[in-house]
Amino acid sequence: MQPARRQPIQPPDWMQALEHALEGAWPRPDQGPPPFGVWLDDGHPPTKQIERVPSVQRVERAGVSVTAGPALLSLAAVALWAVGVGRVNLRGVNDLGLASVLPLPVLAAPVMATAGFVWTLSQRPPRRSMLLLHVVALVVMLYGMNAMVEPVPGPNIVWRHAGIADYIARTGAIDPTIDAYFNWPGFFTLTAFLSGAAGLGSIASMAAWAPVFFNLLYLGPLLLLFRRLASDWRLVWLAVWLFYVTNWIHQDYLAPQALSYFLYLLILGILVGWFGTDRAAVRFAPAGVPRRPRSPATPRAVQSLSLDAVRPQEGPFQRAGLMVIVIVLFAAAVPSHQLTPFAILAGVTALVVFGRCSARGLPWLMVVMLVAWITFLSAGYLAGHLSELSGNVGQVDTIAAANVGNRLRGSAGHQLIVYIRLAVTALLWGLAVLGWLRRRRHGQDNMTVTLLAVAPFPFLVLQPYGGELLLRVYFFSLPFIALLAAGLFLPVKGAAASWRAAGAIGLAVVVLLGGFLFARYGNERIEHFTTEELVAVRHLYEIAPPGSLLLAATPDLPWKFQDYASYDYRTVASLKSSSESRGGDLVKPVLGIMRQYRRPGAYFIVTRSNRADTEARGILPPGSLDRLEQALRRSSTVQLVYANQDARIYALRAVGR
Amino acid sequence: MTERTLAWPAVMTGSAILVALVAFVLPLEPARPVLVVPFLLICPGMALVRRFRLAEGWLEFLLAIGVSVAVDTLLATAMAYAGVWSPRLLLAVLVWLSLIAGIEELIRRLAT
Repeated sequence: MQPARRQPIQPPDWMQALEHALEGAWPRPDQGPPPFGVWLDDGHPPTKQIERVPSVQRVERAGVSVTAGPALLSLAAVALWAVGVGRVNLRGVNDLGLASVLPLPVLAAPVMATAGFVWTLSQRPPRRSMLLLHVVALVVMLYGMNAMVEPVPGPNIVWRHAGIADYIARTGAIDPTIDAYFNWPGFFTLTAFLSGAAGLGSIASMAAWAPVFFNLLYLGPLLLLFRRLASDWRLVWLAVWLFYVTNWIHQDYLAPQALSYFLYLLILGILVGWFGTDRAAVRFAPAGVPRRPRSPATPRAVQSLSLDAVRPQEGPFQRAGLMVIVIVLFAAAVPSHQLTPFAILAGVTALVVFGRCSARGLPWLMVVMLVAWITFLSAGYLAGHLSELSGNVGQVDTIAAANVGNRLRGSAGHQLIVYIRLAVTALLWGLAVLGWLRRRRHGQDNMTVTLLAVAPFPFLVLQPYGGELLLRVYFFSLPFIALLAAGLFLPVKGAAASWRAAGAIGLAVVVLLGGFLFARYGNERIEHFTTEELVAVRHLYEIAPPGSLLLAATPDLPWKFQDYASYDYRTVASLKSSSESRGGDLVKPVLGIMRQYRRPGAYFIVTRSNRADTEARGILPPGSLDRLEQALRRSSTVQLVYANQDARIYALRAVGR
Repeated sequence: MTERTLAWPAVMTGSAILVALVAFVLPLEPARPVLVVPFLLICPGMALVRRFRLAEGWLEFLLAIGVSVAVDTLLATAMAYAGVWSPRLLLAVLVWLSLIAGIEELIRRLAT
């Protein structure tokens, strides 16, 4: 029985005007399936569009410059970037972040690469090797910035992760009572194993280039996902480009979530690719467009994939193997990160509930695996933190305050960075909404992309996740939001776009690039560390006996990378609540807690990054850290035991101990 | 038989032998990370993914990385929980797994 056809929604006038502004005569690819799914069945675009397509010969006459020009642009961009980035002086960074000290060549380089990318995108057919070259160049330039300018890898959490992996490597044990990380230790056992097997020593040595590594790792699953959701390779690569210029949230450092995100993308890519169905797509096909006849030799699930997707050819044996792979990938995600397995579950459940995935039993299996882990291997942690984890369910005000409101404080520069992050997010989401409308206007199947884009959002009403949940939701939905946003620029009528559309792509990407540099590197003053700071922390470990109190002004310093469980780590910021009742006086709570550790010892460290953190984010009252240090120097119970350009260490005096 | 079908089993076999050499026989410390890390990120997964005879080479490579990461994570975590933590033992297991899978496929392909 034929399902009832739904007429495409009539767009508002402004949508038509926008579309007319972007439409043009960008040729469709000569090879591969028709772009963006408008030629649903016969593979022929409307005649009018064929007339506007320039001939292949004309493009061929353009000669070597068509291929070499864009490639040279990207290579020149990388060279320019490498030269410019070597001149960056981190001492001059202010609260606007790294962008405040980047020389002009470094700012211009990604724009040049974008020009090369858009140039390649406009060629017929798009040269995928060239597109790959552009993307790799962009990733190196955008995500290799830290590695090129910072003498010591950051942020501080990288050093903590190195300490956890070091603990497991040395003891071979997982003690879930230490902290939450030991209840989801998968990533740390992996890194401990890798460093042990390869003889690498501390994993901190791998941290500098981790963002480049992880972002290149994401490229494969992104291409897998996007090519299943859109057959036009230009759309696929534009979505990839938008993903990389908007992935500013910095969750790709050496961390469990960075690796789990790869598993997240890969699982969804396999499920959408080989287990996807397109019931809704058939229903929403525009009137008058004949449907593709089903081949009796093609399995139903494969046949019914999204109408504009590249269709896989694998048979039942391969599909069974792919399901085994999905289960193995999820099994690795469960012990590796608290949140990512739930994001995977949300995405898969959404696909199954809305008839977009034929693996109907998979969500149940995932629930069983998650419950088993929580029940048997992280029960201790959850029992002790249940009220903390469940106490904010449904409290949208509290969660919004933790994720947005509490971040809008600190110095004027830092607040501007937060506003830029919000603006970049709003811009991208706005482009995605327009892309969604434009696809919908042309009877495109938005359902799978939309489901995966919105599936993480319900997490926002569950708990604040330390004020980071909005960032994580943004991250999980980003690939699909990027694909929808790309759909705005590449027309859905086959003949892709005019020079106006190319200009619009370039303009949007340049604006997003500008936002990226501020949004991603806006905390650089806080998050980068100098060699002197690392030397001071190493000295701290040399002089502090195990069991000592190690007290820092704020958490932003490169510590916890060794003897993770041998010290009691505290921060003055965590003592702030007790000091607030004393009008911001930090001396009494600091001396009070240090006196509790007369044996074996108590040490207080203040670093340059601590000061930057205090000033930029307003964690401690203005001037309170200076007053604290002045008081400690005058104190008879504390003495300065180490000082260099960027750090000072105070210890309880031996006399009187 | 195509070159591609023989390339991966040859790579798995060769890299397993090289990794075994630098990790267990010859103390070539500078070469160890260069050989061991890529091996652990590709070969254990490739040993499994090759069984499924997927149509596209790049997909096979992508899935091999994912499965390698997953297998390494699961086995390392299981060892830590079981109290038998030994990176060298786990590396030896994965070297054997890759070696057997690579040699088996080489023999099977050459025999046909």
